[in-house]
Amino acid sequence: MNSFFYLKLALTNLKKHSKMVIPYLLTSTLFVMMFYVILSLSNHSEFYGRTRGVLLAFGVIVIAIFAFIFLFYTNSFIIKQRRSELGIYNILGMEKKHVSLTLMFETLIMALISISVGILVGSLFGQAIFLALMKMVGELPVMYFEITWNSIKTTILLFLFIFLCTMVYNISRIHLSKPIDLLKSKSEGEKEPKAKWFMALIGLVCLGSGYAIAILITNPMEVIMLFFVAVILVMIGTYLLFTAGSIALLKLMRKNKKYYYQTQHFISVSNMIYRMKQNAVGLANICILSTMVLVMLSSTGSLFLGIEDSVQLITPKDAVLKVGTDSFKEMIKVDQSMMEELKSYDKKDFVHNYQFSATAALANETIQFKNKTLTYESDAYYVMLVANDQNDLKENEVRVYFDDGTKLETLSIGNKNYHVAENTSSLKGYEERDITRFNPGFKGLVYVEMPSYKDVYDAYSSIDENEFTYLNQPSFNYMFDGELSDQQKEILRQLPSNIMRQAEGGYYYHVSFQDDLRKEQYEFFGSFFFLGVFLSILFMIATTLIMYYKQMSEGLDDGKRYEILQKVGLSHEEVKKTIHSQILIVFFMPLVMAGIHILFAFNMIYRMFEMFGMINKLLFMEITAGVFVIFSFFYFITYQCTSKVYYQIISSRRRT
Amino acid sequence: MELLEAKNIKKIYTTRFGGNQVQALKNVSFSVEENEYVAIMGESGSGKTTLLNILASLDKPTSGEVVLRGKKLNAISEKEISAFRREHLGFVFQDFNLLDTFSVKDNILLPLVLSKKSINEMEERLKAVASALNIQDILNKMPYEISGGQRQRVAVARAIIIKPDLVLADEPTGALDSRNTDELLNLLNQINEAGQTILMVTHSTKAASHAKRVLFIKDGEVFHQLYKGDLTNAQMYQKISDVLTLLAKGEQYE
Ligand SMILES: Nc1ncnc2c1ncn2[C@@H]1O[C@H](COP(=O)(O)OP(=O)(O)OP(=O)(O)O)[C@@H](O)[C@H]1O
Ligand SMILES: [Mg+2]
Repeated sequence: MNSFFYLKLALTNLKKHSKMVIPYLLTSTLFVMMFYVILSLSNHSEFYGRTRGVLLAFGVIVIAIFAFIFLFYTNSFIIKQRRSELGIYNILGMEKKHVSLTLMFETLIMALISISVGILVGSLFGQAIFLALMKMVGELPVMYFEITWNSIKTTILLFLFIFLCTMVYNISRIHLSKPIDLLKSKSEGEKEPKAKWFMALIGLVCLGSGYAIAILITNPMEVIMLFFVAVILVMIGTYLLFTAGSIALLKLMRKNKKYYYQTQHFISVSNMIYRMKQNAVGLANICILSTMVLVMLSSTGSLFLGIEDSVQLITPKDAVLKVGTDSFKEMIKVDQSMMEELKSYDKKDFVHNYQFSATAALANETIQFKNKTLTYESDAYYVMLVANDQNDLKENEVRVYFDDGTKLETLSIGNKNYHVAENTSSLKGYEERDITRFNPGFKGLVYVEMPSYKDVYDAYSSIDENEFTYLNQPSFNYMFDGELSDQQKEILRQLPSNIMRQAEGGYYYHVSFQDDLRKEQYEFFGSFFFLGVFLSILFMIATTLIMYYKQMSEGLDDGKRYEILQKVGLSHEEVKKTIHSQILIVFFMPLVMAGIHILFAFNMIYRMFEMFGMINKLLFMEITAGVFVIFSFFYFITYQCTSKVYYQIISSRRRT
Repeated sequence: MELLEAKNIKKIYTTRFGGNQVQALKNVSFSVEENEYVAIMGESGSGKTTLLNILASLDKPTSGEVVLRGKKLNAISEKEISAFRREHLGFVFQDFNLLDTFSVKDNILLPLVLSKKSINEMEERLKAVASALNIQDILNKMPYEISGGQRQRVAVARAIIIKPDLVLADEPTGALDSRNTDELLNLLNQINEAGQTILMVTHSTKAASHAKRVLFIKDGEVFHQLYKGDLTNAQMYQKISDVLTLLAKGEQYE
């Protein structure tokens, strides 16, 4: 027999298993295409080596790893289903060598198809995807998708490697197993799964502590550090609960005779015990993938749509200049020069003030800048002290604003006592929503308007800097709206350092323009969002495929069972009802679980957003809810389509 | 009274691609009285299982009809047929058809659960059948953990636990040793004496000799039938053997 024979046999096999092979082929082709496109984008002359390209490069790595794991996983599923067939070849006298040869041809054919088609389709749709990316990051000089040999080569090499690995795995399975093992069909002789109570308990504990971290931690620094701990805990919890927990629960149900020996429960519970053994990992995978899609879409989407908010927060006006020096005397001089220089500009809504902000405790009508005593940020007030040159306050008078509605008669700051002239409920120059933005997790926000620059500076001087974790040094702020040419912007950028260069001691400054910042943010969060959508599509494809295979393998197993049940007298209708309720539970369990994960993760993710300057909680909430609804819809469609496969397989076995 | 009547049953199997056609039953007519015990014999592939399936309405005949207590089966709704199977019919399948997801006990209880009996009643009946069939010790095992003969007895237990009016048994002794065969045959006789009707397919002359009547099927038709009357088992055994010899020779028996 020559190798041509095995090639033909390989082709016949692929055709015979088209129900399994075609979805696999489709998925691997899509993976090739997506990898190739994202690689080309990250190698694009407008992205390679730039900040906006960093995220794309990260995406390349994620997709490569995911493609490897996922294709490997589905391949092992397929080869498991085909075990008995391969065993028969072996028993009928085909040497293992020849079975391997056949498998090799099968893999080569699939690799050839998916790699070539993937790259071809990727090249065709590359331009469209590139334009979508452009929509998110803004206009770029080079406006076309670049097809490079470099990207093609890497794609080919990566996927050849992946297919090679699956091939080696398949062949090793053939060589390591006895024909009798291969012959045994999957479900026959499969032991009933044991209830692993301990594992289930650990799963519960992991999930619980993951959730606890997500709710209880509010300190932004701790959130960042513990986020991944929480994610890992929840993931472990999910896997353990799906695998061990579900079986333990079902066994508990079976122990309850009153419950168990009712037609519906009787069939469902015993069936599910087996089903969970085979599919728990698949379901947990679906749950984790769904959660990832939901988190990615809602968070990157919120950051992207929240760009305007964070731009407004950082640069409330078109131009924002902050200057500060170490000595107060120099400060006043610098301010005078600054005002002088800014005179020539056409300034709308000009804001000019002197301020600093710090965290502080508030007790006995005294603001104490002693942070060491405040263990948690949530115990601290965020205090802003402000003075501007045209206020109506007398000496020793302040105007205060508390966002929690506190009202005071007097207030001591530093070593000075002030009379509170007014407890305001609205702040000059700020809208309500602007103020709450300043409050990322503090107990409250305090805004104190002081009579003179000197008062602000004195308050600042009273602070022992060693005490502090959170302090903005005092600065003069100049903010205004108005059209600025590139040349003017350049001059303004240089202005503070030009003026302060002659000043004594240290100085600091910051100049930012709203439209520049906006552009930067769109570049970063735009590519972030793009990546989120891109990866979500990838994960959704994976979810669909897992569902499909799950339905198929279950259909094959369950078909025989339902046939017997009907022979014993379960009516067509009851069978349908049982199947339906069972599928429904099994299918929507991962989605419900993912929903619960999201609910708990919400707060933690929001805390992290605040550090990016995305602090529109309502927007995040709306987007998360929207994403969940859309995703559920998609999930439902997938469920409908894949369960058709299941019903087909089941009914093809039914006689009546 | 007549319990079951088969009229001119014909069954042609069409293979999946429509090419080959197999005629399993050509023209079968016979009837079964209430409380009868009928054995059906015939060589392998003569259509016995097919016939039983049609009688239990698990399969539809190509032509002809089955009348059950005066009602035509093809006129009864699927729901009613299911109810009938559940409550009045016990089927011992040739390939057992045990569910691999249930323990032996649950497999036997299945028909009772389907017809919503109380737990006490289930436990009582289970005890009775299990000891009659000598399977008390394997009740908590899974089907894959027990032998072929044990599986067959479990299948019988499942069929008779509801005390069905009609027991259809497809080679119920096929996998049993002689002691267990004797016990099962005695059990079937008891059941029959208690008023239940039995229709049993068998290759075993010994098993057939327990029946009140033996039908012989050949080439898809009823070829001959024997009544036991007052004959002893041994005399019946001899008569059946004679017919089988003739059958093998392919001659017409008058
Ligand atoms: N589902 C089917 N599709 C096609 N042909 C079938 C099918 N079931 C049975 N046959 C054919 O019909 C004929 C009768 O089969 P049946 O199973 O009724 O025989 P049997 O008398 O029960 O044999 P045995 O004693 O071996 O059990 C056989 O030739 C068989 O090949
Ligand atoms: Mg048969």
